[in-house]
Amino acid sequence: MLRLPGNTPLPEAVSALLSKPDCRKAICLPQADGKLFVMDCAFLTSQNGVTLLAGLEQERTEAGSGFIRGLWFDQPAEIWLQSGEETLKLAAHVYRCHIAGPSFQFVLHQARARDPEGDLAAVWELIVDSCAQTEEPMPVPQEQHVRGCPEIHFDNPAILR
Amino acid sequence: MQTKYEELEQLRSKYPDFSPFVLLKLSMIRYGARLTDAALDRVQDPYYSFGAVEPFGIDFVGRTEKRAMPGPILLRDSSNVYINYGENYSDPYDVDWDEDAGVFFLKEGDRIIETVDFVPRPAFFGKKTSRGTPMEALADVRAQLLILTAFQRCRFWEKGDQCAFCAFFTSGHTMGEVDCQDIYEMIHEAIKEPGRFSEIHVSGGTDFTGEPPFELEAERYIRVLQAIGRNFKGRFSSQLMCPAYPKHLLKRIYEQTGITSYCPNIEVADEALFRKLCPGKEKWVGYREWIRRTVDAVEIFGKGNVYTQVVTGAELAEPDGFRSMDEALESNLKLCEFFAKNGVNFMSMVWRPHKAARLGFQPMPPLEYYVRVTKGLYEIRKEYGLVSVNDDYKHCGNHPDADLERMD
Repeated sequence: MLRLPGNTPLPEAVSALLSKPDCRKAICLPQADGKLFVMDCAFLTSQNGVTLLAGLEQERTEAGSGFIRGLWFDQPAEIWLQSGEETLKLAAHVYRCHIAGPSFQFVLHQARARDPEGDLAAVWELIVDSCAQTEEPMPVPQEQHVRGCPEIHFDNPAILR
Repeated sequence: MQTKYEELEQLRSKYPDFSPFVLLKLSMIRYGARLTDAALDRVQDPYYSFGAVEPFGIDFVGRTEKRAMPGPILLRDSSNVYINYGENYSDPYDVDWDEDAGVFFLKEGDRIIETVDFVPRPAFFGKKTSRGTPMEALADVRAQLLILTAFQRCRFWEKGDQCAFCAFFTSGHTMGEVDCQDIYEMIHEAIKEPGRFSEIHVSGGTDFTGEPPFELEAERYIRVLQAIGRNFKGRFSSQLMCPAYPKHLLKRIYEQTGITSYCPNIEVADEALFRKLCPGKEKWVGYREWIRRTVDAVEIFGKGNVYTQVVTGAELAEPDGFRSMDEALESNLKLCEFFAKNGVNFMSMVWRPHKAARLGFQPMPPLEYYVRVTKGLYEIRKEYGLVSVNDDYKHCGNHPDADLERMD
């Protein structure tokens, strides 16, 4: 179902928490068995102040299939943010996948700033539906398994002559 | 008469586990799309404009050099939809630009179906090589993929042995053999754009010159791949699409270049139809030998790194095609299973009829046929543990059955 992002800014609490250097970020994504897969999201940010952008390092993984299930079948996702004593739990839905263009470049730049050989397979855009403080413990990120060989871009110094 | 939207809803209901985005992609390819005036104005923007170059050498009546065309359409899931802009579609979708919303909408009449975007113009477009060759004439571009055509002619056409569904290089505006220094420089420039490209496909028209046949063509591909490889430390994610070569040629290509996958396209699954629709391939290789060589290639490239594709819909084309869709589907699934058992990815792409092809314009099969083929091929390959790394939604974008793998 098509739901455009609109212009409502992200809740201030979300922006504030995301800006903290020690903010832990996790995204819970739908799986085929109905459970949620917990992804540790190193690169979660906002470019426009309205939607969230999540960098995905490898796409042929549980997280990759979770994002696509969320988009294709309108299955909800959860985003967890924690810094210090404060934990936010966000209900969200997956809006768009970027593999080129300004949103992809925006997050890739952050990944490369941290590690010049860093790379992202895709950047996923999410729309926040609701946000609440929670006493629940932060979910524990799960290990991801890559199907097929890992993806890398041609400008990555690891493969360039 | 059922609208396209009604057909989509009906098929979504009938196949609830089938991706609605892959369904939409199939529908868009089948019916086509045209740009409204507002959309055409918007894509003149440098972010979108791909200019007037058509690297497969096909003429489309509705195109004019005065207006730039955009790259392929991207759906919200970043899947690639290849539309022949300017083709004379009978019942196309509209792609419209909404100034207030700041987005492109895919529409049927006044009904908004989805929001879409286009592959951005790559940074290397507009630049020239040291020989003065425009770089955009050397590659077709998708979001993450560069497709290079090493030889912009097909010798099968010389004696009327061309594949019956093919219209490549019929516009009269093609370059013949590409220059390897041009290729090196274009790739060198293209990959400067951060995170833009991750796959290179190399193909061309068939050239059977040499003794044994295809010897000169194989050497040409080696030169081109080596020119590309000058940019990289070792192997680079890539695919060579060319005829089914004997093992000794494949071994040479693999050992002397950085190629990682190989794709000799069988085009049509049924043996009798192959002989009728691909007379050149039949004459110079033969159906059974083509299959044998494709399977043999797995010894060199490895399981899952050899591909082949069919042009879905051609098997139902008049006058020689299957009379029954069930029989046509069965022929595809049977060959897919054979290849999958032998480590080869059998893929489909939707055939769009063109007037310059021997088959000409023909009605295309119903949308549901494409859904059944797409679903069937995906399920068979999954059963055999195959992953289409080099031909997936991002590293090719022409195979709806590969798009379904994203759920796995």
